[in-house]
Amino acid sequence: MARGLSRKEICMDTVTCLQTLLASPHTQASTWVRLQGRIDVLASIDGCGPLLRLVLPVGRPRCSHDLQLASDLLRWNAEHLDAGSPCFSLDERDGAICLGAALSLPGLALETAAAALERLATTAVEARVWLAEAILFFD
Amino acid sequence: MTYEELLRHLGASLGLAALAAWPADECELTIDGMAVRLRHLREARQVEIEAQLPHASPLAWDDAAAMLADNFIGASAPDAICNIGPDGAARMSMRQCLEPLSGEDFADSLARFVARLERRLRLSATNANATASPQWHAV
Repeated sequence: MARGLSRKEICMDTVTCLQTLLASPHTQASTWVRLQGRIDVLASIDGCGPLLRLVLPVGRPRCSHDLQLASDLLRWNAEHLDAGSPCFSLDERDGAICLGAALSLPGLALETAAAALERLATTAVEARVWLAEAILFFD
Repeated sequence: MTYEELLRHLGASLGLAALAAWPADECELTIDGMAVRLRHLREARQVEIEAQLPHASPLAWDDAAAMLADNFIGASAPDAICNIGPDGAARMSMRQCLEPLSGEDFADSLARFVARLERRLRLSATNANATASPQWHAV
């Protein structure tokens, strides 16, 4: 994933963050965006895609190799599959569970990106209830 | 672009004679030797692109972790994601809004989907005998 601001350096509002990111001349750049005053999402540009990827760290399972949890996450994805819907993912490097969404960069409007971020936040709240007993959420 | 125009365009650009069945509710076509199902979700004004993924039954940890990890790497919606349906079958799915959608856009979506499916199947075959799995951290 691209390097960028640390999570502690969040300071800009959503639109400003996205404007800065989308205007970046670099093929890889990232910034943390704080939504609804409390949900931190890492927005990053992957020029290879080219995609704007939105990732919200969810947490890590309490025990490794939790097949039931992994299976539940995949089923949740199936039930929420829709155009533009975020889905659960697993970071292969550190095992962290994330909610992620990606948007194609060519022709991407700022409003579309902002809407996707808000949708991610809304989904996160819904998923948080669903996951409450399973794993840590939002640290 | 009407569905009929889209159909004609896709048929011309991809050379997929099987698309002659579309816009029926469902049609299955073979692209680069891989079976892909198109489902026309009329009410949602979307088309769903779906392919079955091989996995052990019951679902094995390695398969579940690999599918979740693939979602992270490959991007989530609007690109293809791995999921598990209510019948327990593993799939790669993608939904695409029909409007606005040009024939070129849909052709690109199909090409991306098939490329990701090809990659997923190749990885599954490569890892079939592997014992290593992503390390989830206990917390």
